[in-house]
Amino acid sequence: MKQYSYFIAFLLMLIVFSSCNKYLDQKSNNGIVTPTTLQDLQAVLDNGTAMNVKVTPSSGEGSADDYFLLQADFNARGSWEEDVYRWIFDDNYSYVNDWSSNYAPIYNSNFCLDEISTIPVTSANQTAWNNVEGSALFYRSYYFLQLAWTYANAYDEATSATDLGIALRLTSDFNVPSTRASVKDCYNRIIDDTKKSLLFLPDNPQHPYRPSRAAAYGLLARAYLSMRNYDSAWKYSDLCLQLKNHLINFNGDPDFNGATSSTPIKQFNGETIFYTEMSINYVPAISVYAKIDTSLYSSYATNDIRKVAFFAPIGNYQKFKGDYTGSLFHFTGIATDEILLTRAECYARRGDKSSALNDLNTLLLNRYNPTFLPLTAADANDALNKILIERRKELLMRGLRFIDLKRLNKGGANITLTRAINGQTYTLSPNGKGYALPLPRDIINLTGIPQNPQ
Amino acid sequence: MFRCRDRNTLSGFPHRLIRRTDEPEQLLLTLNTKAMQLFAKKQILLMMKLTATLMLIACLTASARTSAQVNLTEKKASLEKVLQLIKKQSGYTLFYDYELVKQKGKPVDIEVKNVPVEQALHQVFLNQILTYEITGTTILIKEKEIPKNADPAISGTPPPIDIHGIVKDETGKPAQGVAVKVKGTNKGTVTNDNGEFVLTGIDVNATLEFSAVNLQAFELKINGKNELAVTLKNKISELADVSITSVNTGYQQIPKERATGSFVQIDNKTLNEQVGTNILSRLNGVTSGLYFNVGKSNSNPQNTTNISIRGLSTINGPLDPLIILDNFIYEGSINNINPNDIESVTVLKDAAATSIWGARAGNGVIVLTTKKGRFNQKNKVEFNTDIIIAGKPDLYYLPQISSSDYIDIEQNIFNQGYFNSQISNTSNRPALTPAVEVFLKRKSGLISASDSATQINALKAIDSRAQYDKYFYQQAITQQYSLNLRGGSNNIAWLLSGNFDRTVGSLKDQFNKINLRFNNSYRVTKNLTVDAGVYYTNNKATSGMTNPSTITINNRQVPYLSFADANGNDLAISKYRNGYIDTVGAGHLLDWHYYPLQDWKHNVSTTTSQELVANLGINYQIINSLKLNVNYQYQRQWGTNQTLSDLQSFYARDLINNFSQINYSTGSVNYIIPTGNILRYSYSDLSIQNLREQLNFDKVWGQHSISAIVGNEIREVINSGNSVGYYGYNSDPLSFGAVDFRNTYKTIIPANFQNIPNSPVVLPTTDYRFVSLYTNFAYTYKQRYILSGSLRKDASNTFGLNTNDKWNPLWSAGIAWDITKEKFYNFSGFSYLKLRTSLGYSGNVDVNKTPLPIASSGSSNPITNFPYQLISTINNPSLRWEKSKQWNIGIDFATKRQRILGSIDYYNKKGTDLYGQIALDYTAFGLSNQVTKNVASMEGQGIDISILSKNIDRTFKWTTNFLFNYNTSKTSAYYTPAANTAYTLLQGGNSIYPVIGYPLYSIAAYKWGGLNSVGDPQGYLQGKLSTDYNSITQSANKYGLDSGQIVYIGPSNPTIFGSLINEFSYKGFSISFNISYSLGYYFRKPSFTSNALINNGYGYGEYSQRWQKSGDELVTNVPAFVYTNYPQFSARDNFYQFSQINVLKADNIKLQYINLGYSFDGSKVRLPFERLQVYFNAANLGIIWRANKYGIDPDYPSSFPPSKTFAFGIKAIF
Repeated sequence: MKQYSYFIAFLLMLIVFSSCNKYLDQKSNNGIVTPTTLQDLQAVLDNGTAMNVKVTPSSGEGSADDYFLLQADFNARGSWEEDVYRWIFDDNYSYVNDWSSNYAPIYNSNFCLDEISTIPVTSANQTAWNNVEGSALFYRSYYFLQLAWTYANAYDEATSATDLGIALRLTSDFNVPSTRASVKDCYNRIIDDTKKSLLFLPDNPQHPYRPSRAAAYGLLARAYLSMRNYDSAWKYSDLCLQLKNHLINFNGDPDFNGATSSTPIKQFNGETIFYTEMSINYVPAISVYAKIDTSLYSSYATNDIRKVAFFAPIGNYQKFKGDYTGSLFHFTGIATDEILLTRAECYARRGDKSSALNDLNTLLLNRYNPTFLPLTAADANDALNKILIERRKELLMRGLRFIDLKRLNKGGANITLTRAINGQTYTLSPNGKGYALPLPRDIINLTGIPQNPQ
Repeated sequence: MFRCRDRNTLSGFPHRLIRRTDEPEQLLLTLNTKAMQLFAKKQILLMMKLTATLMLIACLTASARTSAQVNLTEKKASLEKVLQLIKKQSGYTLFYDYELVKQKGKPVDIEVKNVPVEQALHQVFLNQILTYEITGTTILIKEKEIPKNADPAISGTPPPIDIHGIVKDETGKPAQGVAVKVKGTNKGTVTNDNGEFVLTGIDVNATLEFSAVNLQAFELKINGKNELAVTLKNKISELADVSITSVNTGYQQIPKERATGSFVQIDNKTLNEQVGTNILSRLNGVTSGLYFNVGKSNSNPQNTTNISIRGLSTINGPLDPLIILDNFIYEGSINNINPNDIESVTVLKDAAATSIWGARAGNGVIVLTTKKGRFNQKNKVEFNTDIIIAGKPDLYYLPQISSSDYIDIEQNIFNQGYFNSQISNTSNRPALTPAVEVFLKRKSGLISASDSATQINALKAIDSRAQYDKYFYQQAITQQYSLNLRGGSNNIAWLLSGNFDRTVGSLKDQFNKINLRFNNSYRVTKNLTVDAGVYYTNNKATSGMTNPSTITINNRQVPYLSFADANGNDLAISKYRNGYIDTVGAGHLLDWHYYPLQDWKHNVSTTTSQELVANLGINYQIINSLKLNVNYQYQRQWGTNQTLSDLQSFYARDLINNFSQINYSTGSVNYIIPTGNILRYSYSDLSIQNLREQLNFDKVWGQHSISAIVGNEIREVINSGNSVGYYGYNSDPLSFGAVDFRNTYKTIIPANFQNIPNSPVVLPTTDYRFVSLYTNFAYTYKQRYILSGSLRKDASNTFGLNTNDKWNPLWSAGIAWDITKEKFYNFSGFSYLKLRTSLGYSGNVDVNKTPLPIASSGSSNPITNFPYQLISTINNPSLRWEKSKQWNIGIDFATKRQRILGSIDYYNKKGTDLYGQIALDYTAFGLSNQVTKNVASMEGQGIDISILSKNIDRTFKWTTNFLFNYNTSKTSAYYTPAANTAYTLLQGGNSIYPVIGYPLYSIAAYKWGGLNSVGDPQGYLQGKLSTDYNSITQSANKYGLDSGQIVYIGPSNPTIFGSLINEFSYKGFSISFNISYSLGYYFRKPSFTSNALINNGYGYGEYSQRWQKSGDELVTNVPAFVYTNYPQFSARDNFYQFSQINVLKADNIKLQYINLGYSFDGSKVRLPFERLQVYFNAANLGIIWRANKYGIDPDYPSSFPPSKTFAFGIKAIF
């Protein structure tokens, strides 16, 4: 009897503790909304305001060369915006900024990935489960790439293992300290996760806010292109275009409001594979301030409908109005025109002149009026140069110029940027330090992670 | 089967008792008890059923009790072996001298089967020269008594011997804490938990004196015996309940001698020094280290008691100490506990004491121990009643601008156009004060100048306070009745009590409370005890008159309001412009006036609350040293709040009128709200379950003693509630109308569209769960070296996953040393001197915090049509409790004959991991750059001294109890920008403001430079006198103390406080009085500001001393009155209000209470009582001394101090 008593006592204690974790799973207050179910997690990702709209970096565009500021507009801006414009970073900046804007959807993705790991897959929830898992992986990679383009040096095979990348946050627990991964690790992570997302995502999305396999191929094409891995970039741009290759015909299209319209291209149009907008953290990127580089504007031929559709005069200069957002905010998502130009570039770089020109002319037929005569080229290299010129003309104010400058300079393009302000000329030399923007001062102070050299 | 018959006889038993509880009420009560009787009937039925069930359990289990039986088959076995076998089989305790048994025991031949122990022993000892003795379950082996002088060899002085003994009470329970003293010497000891004691080096002929508070004293000559078993008779408890020798932590009883921590015990006598219906308020002024914060307001969670133990331990966390009722955390309303049901209170102060309560004990722990029946106690009836009368508040305590001055100001600002916007406001139709109405009529030419003057002069003659006093306030009366029956036989101990409290407050508000309590212990077998108890509370509070100070006109206080005319007819107070509400309805609307003297009768708020605490405990003695306790408690508190506004109430008429849609052309009215009564109803429900399993281990061997517990518990607290409004409500016959809560309707005042208020609300259900694992042990060596420790691990669904998963226990360790037990100790000044020190951690939990992310849910995205959610607050998997580290060093002492008893403690507290805002690495979240984390910290230290001195101890007795407490605190880490400048302390005083390096409650003020020649207050800007208040404020905000514009004044909570309680008694008479003191702190006195006077009608009395003409600046510090267009008008007032000149030293000494009593001893006087006590108590008697010269009670600078109360009561024991 006495021996039993010990036993019973211990048994009782065991019973209580073996069920402890389950017992504590109960939510402490049903008045608070805590996303826990698959539907909740999908709802978190479906919050376009947080996940798609006004998120991607604007400071990279601010440092790029498609636009310039009038002296008065420059003078009216804050010191950090002046710095971005002049590529001289002597002042610090802090919250809110592109860093915070892009890590917000990354948190949501991490949260969903943390939570979904506790939800078992069943035949009933398979589709929903896959969509959350794939979307979260895609979103996280998408914004990691945007951050890497802005805050890290261009990918360089030789130095990428030691070049400072961004913070690869992979958990929603804010108690885990932030560290900077190497550029190599960043790109590897982006590519691995995006490839993983392909296993879960549907070919085409229910809405361009949502990630899809087409978007994931597009993202991979973007990542590989910025790494100057043209074979892979070709592969994924081609896969992407196999799923979606519609182009808006500027000569007449339901998605085209007419060249003279103030918003000529409709939002969520047929070219949009995945929709995101540029943040307004760097205010001058907005069309009313950003005057289009005059030589760029004059490079549009008169039979090029874009010359009217994309631009509107403002004073003596031109502003950009060709956004796929149907508003003055800039579209930065993935669209078929971009992927087509990527594939064209890759064809040219591998020496396939005719395929390259074919892709290029396919696009331009939809952009020029019927007087357009398809372009020809002496050789693949000539085709490449023509494609790069068209790439700049087609994809301006899409958050792509800055990374294009970075990768082209890495490839020896030797483009030097200059700005003239207050009678002084500032330059950004090829592969200069200004191509990796400084991290916010408060983040550096809080986390102790290294700052980009300035 | 006969037990079934018992059931019938037993069930009648509590019925009889209940009837007896009614008798004194009928004798002594004059109140209407109809409701109570009705209620009691229901309860009797319930209690009868319950009692019958419990009794049945007791009867059934009683039959299971059998004497221990043994089986022995031994040939030539040693006596020792046989004895060990008997011990093992019977479970009896065996006492014998090893050498004696080995040398003198003869081999034993025995064969017995299933015989009682006694029989087996008898057989074993047939041929022995030794003998045995059985006491309860203890077997003592000894030599057979040899007649004296039979052995001539023994002569001279025999060598001293060592004695082992066990002391039991007459029920056979080990008696712990019994003092065992060698007569005529200083040698002595105290029995341990098992009733055992050891004395070394004792003369063989010595006599031992046994004494204990609850047992009758006894002397025993040892006659050379070194093994003793002593049974002491129980003392029949007396009126004044016994003082406590062990402290109850809620998990175990720790003998005082064995404690290494810091405890305060408030015995029943001390609890009864103060009267009143709240148990916690009876701790005020008598509890070392415990302070009642007055006038403080903080938004901290769990902040209802205003009690702090040893100062603060948190900044943003819960402020209440943890309250334990017997075994478990009590989370109901403290008002539900009747002080008459409480036997004693233990306050656990340091970490060694509190850490057993783990993550919720950081603010200290208050353990309420209820009265209980005892085994072998004769039946007793205790009756107590008293009446407490509290005077009307002193309405003239707060100096106030005179009506005449006030009306002059109104005239002044009326002329400047101040009221123009209100007069022309056709949306809200704000009311105007009577004087302004007169000015307006005069201005519009409706009345003549002389009429105006007459009316104004009449108004000037009115003082609202006289009206308040006449029509509103009355004396508050509280009546308390308490009946308590208890008794106990050998295996049943029971207690039944009933209490009834009734209070009619100073504004005719009422509060009635009934408590019923039933508590039983059944000793089922010698090893098994079952405790069962039920505590039921029912209370009801009914609102009284509106507090007159809240009756304002358009949010302006008006000091000349009249509530009734000369004939006693009720007068209306304007809620809206009088002319408008009389005409807008064109006769179609209900009267739209507000009559304060009538309205309260038609707008009655009733709060009812019921509570049931039921518990069941099983104590099973597994073996001698090991005991298992399983305790379960269910607690439920549910209540409603109903406000019934009938059609005569302003609330109902106002709402109905406002929503009425009048068609002026047809004269028809569409009533959106039915013209009937309005009932606003809310319901709340709290239910708590606890289950605890605990093993207790107690063992003494040789010089060592170990006492340990290990256990686990789970706890769940569920809170829910809802509220709704019913319109057109009629209670009998029940009916109510349907209203449309969904659409908006055009209201008359204000003229806009609104929803009908009081739509149904279901409050979120909170479900807090805790799982805990704990252990506590104490090791004592040689009765004088004590080592104690505890570990506790808590997990909860309000902590983050990372916290729950980590083994991160809260712990404490303590050591103590009783110097007086040392051989070398020979100082006769102190008979008891114990040094102790402890170190440990306890926690503090804000259960409202959640480790989960909080999302706001959107229905669907208009662009995608997908539902969406936005995570607005980040998840914190590392969220956990706040930590409070405390180091304590103390000394307990007693002088010879315990003339002076006392303790001195020094402690040092460090609150770490406190909730606080900190900059967030937004790489992790993005939507915010701040987050609440466990990051802040604070420090505190202090001294507690408690001395009890018996100055005269003859027929005339005089005792003095002196309490002294010193406490300081400061913020040591906080991460908001404001925490780095003392600027926020300008607002300080009444709330916690964390500023690094300063006390949590403290005051800073603008440096005062006197008035200038135009009556403006002056501050300092860059070292020079200045009236640029905006610049002063900005600079102070930016640079804090470094700016030179502000100065730090000091803490706003006493750093030194305590009391001096003197008690004199002579035969049956006793008188005691408590003088309390609070020192070393500051308060901000109210001040006159033009802003408050113009915009809120609040004029502090110092208005009359304001600067009025050049030269006044030499004699006064009160600025001139200025109108709102004055430069920096608000900043000027703000500067003056928060300047140095208005911060005063708060030190004061108060007479807390006086108690007079006379006790008749029933055995000496012919009375039907065993004892009868009559007592008189007077409390809140006021200030004896204060540091300020303004006559302000520093704890109540801008509200009425509590009224004096006088109580008279009778307590009888039958």
